[in-house]
Amino acid sequence: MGQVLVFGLISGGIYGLFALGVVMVFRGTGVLSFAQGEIGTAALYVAAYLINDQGLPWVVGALGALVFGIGVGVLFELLVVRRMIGADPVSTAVATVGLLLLITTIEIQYAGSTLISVRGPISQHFAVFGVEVTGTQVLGVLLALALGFGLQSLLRRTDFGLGILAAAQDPTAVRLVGVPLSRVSATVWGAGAALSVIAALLVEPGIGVFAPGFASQLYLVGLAAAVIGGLTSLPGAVIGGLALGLVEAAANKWFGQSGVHGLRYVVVLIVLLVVLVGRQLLPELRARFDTRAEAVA
Amino acid sequence: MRRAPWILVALIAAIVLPPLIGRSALLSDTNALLLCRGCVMALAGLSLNLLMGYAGQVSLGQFAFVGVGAFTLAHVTGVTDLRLPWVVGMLASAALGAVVAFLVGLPALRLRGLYLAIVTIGVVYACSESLFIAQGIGGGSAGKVVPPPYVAADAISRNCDLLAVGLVLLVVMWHLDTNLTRSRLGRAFHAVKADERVAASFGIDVASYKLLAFVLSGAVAGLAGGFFGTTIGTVQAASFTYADSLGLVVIVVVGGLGSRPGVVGVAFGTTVLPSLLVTLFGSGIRGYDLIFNAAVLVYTITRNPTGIAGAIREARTKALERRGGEPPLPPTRPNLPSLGRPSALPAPRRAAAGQPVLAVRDIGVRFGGLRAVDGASITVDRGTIVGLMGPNGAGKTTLFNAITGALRPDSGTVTFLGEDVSHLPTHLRAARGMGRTFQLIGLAKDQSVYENLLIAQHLAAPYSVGSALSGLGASRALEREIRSRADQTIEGLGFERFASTPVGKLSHGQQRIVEIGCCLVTSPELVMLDEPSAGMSPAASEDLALTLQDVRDKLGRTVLLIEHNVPLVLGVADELYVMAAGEVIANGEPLDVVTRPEVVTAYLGSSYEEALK
Amino acid sequence: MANLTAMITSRHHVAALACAAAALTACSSAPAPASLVAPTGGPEAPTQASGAPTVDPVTGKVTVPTKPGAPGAPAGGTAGSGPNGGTGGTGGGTSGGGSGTSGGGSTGTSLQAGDPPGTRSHLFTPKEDRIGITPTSITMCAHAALTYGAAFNTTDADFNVFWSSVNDHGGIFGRKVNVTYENDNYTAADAKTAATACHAKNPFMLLGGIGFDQIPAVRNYVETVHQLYLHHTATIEGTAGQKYSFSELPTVERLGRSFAQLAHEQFPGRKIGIIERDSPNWSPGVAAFKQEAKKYGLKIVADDKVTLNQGNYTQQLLDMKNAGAEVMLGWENVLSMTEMIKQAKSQVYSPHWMVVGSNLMTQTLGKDSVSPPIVGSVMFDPYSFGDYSGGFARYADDMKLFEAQYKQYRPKADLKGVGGDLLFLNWTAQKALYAQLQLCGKDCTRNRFIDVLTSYRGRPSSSSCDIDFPNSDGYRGANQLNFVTAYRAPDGTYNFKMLKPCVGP
Repeated sequence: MGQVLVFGLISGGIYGLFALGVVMVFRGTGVLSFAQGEIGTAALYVAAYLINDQGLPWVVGALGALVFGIGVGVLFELLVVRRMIGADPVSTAVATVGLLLLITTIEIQYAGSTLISVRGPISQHFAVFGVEVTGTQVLGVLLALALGFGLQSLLRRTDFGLGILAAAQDPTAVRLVGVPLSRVSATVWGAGAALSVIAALLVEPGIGVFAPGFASQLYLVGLAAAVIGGLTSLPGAVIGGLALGLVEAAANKWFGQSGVHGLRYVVVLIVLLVVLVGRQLLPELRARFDTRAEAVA
Repeated sequence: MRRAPWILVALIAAIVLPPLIGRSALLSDTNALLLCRGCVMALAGLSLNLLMGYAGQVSLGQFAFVGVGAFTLAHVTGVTDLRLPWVVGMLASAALGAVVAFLVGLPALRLRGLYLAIVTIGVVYACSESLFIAQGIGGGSAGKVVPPPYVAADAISRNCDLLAVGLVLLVVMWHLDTNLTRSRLGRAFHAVKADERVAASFGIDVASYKLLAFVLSGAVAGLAGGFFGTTIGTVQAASFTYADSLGLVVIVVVGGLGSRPGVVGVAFGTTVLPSLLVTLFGSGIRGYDLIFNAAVLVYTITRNPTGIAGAIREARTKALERRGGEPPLPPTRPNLPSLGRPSALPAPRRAAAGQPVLAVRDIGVRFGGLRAVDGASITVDRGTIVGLMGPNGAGKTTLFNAITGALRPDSGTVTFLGEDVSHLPTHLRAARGMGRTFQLIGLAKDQSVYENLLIAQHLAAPYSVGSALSGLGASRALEREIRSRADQTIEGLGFERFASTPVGKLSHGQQRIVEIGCCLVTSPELVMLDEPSAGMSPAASEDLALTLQDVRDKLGRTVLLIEHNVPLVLGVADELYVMAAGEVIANGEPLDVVTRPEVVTAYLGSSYEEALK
Repeated sequence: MANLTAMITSRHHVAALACAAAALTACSSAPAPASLVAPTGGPEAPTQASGAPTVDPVTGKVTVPTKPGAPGAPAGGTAGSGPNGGTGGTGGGTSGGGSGTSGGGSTGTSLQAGDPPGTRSHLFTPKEDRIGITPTSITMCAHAALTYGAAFNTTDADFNVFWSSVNDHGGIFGRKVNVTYENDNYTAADAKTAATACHAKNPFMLLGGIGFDQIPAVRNYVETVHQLYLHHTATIEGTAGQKYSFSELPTVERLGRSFAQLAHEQFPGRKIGIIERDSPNWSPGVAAFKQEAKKYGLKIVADDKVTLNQGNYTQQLLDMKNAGAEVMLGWENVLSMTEMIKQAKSQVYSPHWMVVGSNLMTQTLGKDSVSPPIVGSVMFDPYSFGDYSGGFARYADDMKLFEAQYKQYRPKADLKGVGGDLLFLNWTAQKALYAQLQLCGKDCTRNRFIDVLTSYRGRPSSSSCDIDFPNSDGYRGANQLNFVTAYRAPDGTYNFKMLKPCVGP
């Protein structure tokens, strides 16, 4: 049980970070990106080049990766997203599938399937419930929580931040406040990419190695986490990430020896269904409950 | 029915050409197989297009249904399994694909858009990583063998012959899909995609049609899977993954959501492109060709967000506009035709003499702690125009929604034509003769004026799914009738030049007139209009008043009207209700009601009252 | 788009890394790792390893071995009688005497005019028999995942070095060997297309590259078009009744059994844990391992399943640790195995790992691969650039020839890198095929080649293990695997070296 908690939090924090990126982009531009995760993988190659090959300190490598990732995100916004304003969000989502393919194929051409490792910022580790946890992993969880619960209030402090939070929902109002939507858009795509890069940098040391497609796998779960969290809520994204991490860890623990193939996927699907349908039903139930409570009173 | 020969020609070509060409050197066995793959992707693309392009239900796991079809065929026809004929197997593939899609569709009744999309990802994972790898279903590491179809004792195993089979399937599906889009089914899907509440107001049972979209889509996907298995000969779980499903979404969106030719064209194009590139540039470009493909995808979709079909459509519209110039504006004073009740609709229930058309008693609606409507009662007598006024937030639209069934009130009853309809869903109230318009235009905006008039007559053409898909039977006569009614209405509205214009491209006022036309095209007993004059010029409002009088006097309908435009209401209403803060505060003779102090206060606030003192 | 999206997320990893996956060895397109005749003075002058079947390379006169086999091996009559269906319904489609096709196929049942005298297989009709072979050429075609060639810095040109050398030295009885490649993208659908494209080239035979997903589809396909198919390792499942597919590699099931033997020999009495991929392609191997483990009385203390690209295996590793597993059998692809071993290290858990590894894994793991050294049972000969000592000495001549040929034809190919062992594997496999084609002789036809193949018993090359079709089911000729262990090579890289060569059942 304790182990499930540890594993769930560690991977959940990473899912949360990816999910935060999903929510940022969605709130800022109303688009769901499939490519964002893979920007993290591409940035890992940059980090590996700087840290492993050039022998630079971790911080420098991480910064390089971050700059690269943000660059890709902003460039995509400038060249593609901006030209698709007003389009069906599904079309823009398909454009991000194109970006995903583009990044992946370039990675394959560049690195092939060579397995590369990048070290983490904190390699000290200690045992929790018999699990050796590294400082990097703790950092991932803390960062996810801090951003999930702090970012919103931080953004609320400035007009620009408010613009980011409201851009997709009420673009006219944002423009009226004097916040240029184009800058909001570029910012959230950059921020989404940055969050992916951070997540990739923090999760890779715990997995051990990476290859093309590495971060997309995790990002897909982050996408689900963001949806569970309601797609617009930053804390919801992190909570969704942690919840999925815990469900996955529990399924991993209890169904790993099952004779039924892939039972874990089925369990996660069922949980997903229950949560999502439950979310939809909740307001109705609450309304009904309120009415009844009032009637009783 | 002018299309029938084309379908026959296509069908004959599909049967005759591939074997003919395949036996010459023109079509190599390899290319024939590639084109078979194209057929598979085109069929799968059509299935997703039906679900996403028509009905607006996003599926990122369509290959789950394709896989179900493939494994079903293997089990039904396999030599170690049931050994039934291929045709039986394909029918079973379609059936099981439909069943599984139906099950996936159930949560879709509750989940929308991205929520549903995430669930479909879960479904395809659960299928490819669990269901399909079960020994009893997936056949273990060997996969399941699919025998070729047989004609008498001869196996159809040459790729060019299989291509004929695939093309026949595709032509048949194309034909059925065409029929679908020209029938009430396709229109209902479009309406559901555009706005579920609007769809319900036209009498469309939203839940059933959503499920129907899943069922039909699953059946087509199942056929695609069956044919896939037939061409490969061996099916394994690894062929039906999330990534394959995402690839299909790309095909459908790049082709153009809702566009048959676009989707089928892109399906074939992307299947053939990789080997075409290698043929053109040699094997040295391998690896780079994938990068190139990805770049082309990003470029294409960025330039044409509505897909290739959308880009072509737009270019054509522009060319037409350039040639024809701007069409003249239609009149704002339509000459509404008296169409009578459509033949397929049962005669409306005759309320007993003196009984009102609509009697609303003590309706209460609560949103959380807020009482949006509080014990409102309204009576609407036959052949009258009843106005409903009140300041913003008074609960007028909420009361409307409670009357039509768009929301369930916490208390109160709605009696329509002497029948208690309180527990009926919207589409059944619509079927009993309750028509309405919406504050924010209740039309399918991406559809043409003509299509909207057909959508509005959903109830007037109640033929079966089979008749819709085949284009035979009851649908012929009924379609002819509603199309004639639509033509007459367009003529009456003066919208001939705009018949094929998407509603979204019209001005607000024009849209409102179309909406009223749609509301009246089935001759409902009660016409409920929610702020029809909003956004109209004063002149147009005056015309609207005349139109409303026509509705009452010439067409003999009964009207319930929410309006802010006081002169308009006073000009046309026979009786007036005024609401404030969820309650009906006054009703009676319009000119009398508006001068009552409580009404004045409600509208102008207490300061005005004090000022009067 | 299908092949594009095949690479997105999940699919991609499996695809690109199945190359070096467990049970598998390389992105090689040639199927057989066992080689036959070792050419000492270049390929044009093959000499025979002792005990190899006899063939006169000068006259091309084929003497189908009546007493073949490795030295000391019983010269059983099995060789003369050809394969007997080992799996139900396989029948004697290729069996000696041309006595019939109990499998229900349509191949000829009597001697055919087109075959050279003495040919005993009649799988192909006279018309089909000489397809792909002329007095001046032999055409072959391989389906392989070329898209991912770049993954190992190898291109299809890199794969044809051996044949280039053969052709420059006069070919096989004057016949130039022409091998082309079609991309199968690691998917069944593309493999069928690739096989069809290959078939259209009228090749002498179709060669099947690595991958679990493609082989079943192509195996079924070749039955319908009567194409000779030599494929990479696969499970036996689903092969009943198939007559056109052959493999010179051990089956996945045999691989599983060999691991039990490895555990028994290397770690007697130790507790064993298993982490296996939950996949139908892999489970027959693990099942065979467990069955064999029972025979040896091995103690399996835990058995966990993992899913595709699970990434985080810490839970399973802790399960193993808690169960006290001292020896770990990991049945996953190289990427996942590398992740697993790394994660075990960070959980301070260092069992003896048994894996089907490649240099990709050891070079990535570095020091971690030797503390304690990873061991494995593999179908290839370990290769470590420039190291001819110890276990390598046995086939150092082949290694040197391999290196010399690459220096001449593809000097840019990186033999030191992670792809080196894959290229060597490919090369040795082609050498085996070459030798068998030599044996087939001047009058070689497809039926005759099947004769050569299915009656072959022996260890013809220094870098080879025994191939023994007669003693198998006649369709899969190898039962021996190499036990290997990770070590630090003199050049500082971490590679595999031989622990115990050619271990039979």
